[in-house]
Amino acid sequence: MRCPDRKQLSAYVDKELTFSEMQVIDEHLKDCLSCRIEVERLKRMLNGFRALAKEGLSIPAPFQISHSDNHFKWAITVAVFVLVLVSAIIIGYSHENTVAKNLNHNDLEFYYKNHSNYIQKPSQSYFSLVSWE
Amino acid sequence: MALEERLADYSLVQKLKAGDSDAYDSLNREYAGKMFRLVCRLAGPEEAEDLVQEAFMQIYRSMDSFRGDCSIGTWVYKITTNVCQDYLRRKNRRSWRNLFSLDWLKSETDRELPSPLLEPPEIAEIKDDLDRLRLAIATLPVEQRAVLVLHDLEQLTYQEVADVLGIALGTVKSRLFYARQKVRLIFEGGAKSEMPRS
Repeated sequence: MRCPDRKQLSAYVDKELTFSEMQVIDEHLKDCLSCRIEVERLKRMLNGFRALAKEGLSIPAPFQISHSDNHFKWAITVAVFVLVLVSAIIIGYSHENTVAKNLNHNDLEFYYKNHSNYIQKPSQSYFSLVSWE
Repeated sequence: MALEERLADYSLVQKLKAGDSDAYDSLNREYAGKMFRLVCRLAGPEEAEDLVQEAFMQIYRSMDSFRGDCSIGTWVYKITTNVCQDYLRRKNRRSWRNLFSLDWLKSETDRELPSPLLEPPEIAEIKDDLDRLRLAIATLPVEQRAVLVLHDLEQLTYQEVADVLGIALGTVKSRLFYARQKVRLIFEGGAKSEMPRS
């Protein structure tokens, strides 16, 4: 009987053949020394793999990844964004106030006079709202 | 897959899709360790934690697309393997050789076997064999390594390996055969080269 190909023998060792294929190879092995040696060598190697499979890798502390953590990350991102936005608005507002406080009425009049071609002077009521120091 | 397992999987998937945090914790408990081990074996330990995190994120993101035509375990392995393969392709590395030092290989064996202070020759020999075997696996091309690791180390069946990698059963059989051939050549070549010359 012709020897089965090596792929078949590899699958035979894994018991991944059909019942009839297994039977054919079982019968063949009874009479074929070289195939028996091949099967033994394969089995020895698989024993080595089993030893590798059993060894424990040093797995770090359980991964703290969960759906809720995902939400938590989003919440932090949104909170930081809002904080930055609010800070920017506050800084911008205080800067405007500082500039306004440093100008007096005459400066404004001078400014609007020199830029009257493209800036319209606000109504008097606007000036009355600004508290001059 | 047995009916009971399918029902358990179905119930877990429904909870996950509904955003049940207990279900996420249970998925985490069940698979984090297995995923870490698989990533270490496929892509090396250096970025294993990051890769497991990436795989978990992909699992959560694609939960809605899980159709239940395989077990959750197979699906988790599939995503983890894809993440590893993408990582290795990105890095353009065909083997573990550059990914971790041999010191790590040694230390893993030391952790498993009895004290190195009392080291009979048989134990030293086993440790040496395991190191060589590990190195031989590490030198395989990614596709062959994935099949060998999933079948011979993670103990998946041919059909499960085919499902995880999205390849035909015949391809699993043939890749496994060639992978084993190579490992054996490297392993036995190493043993021969260590034999004392007369």
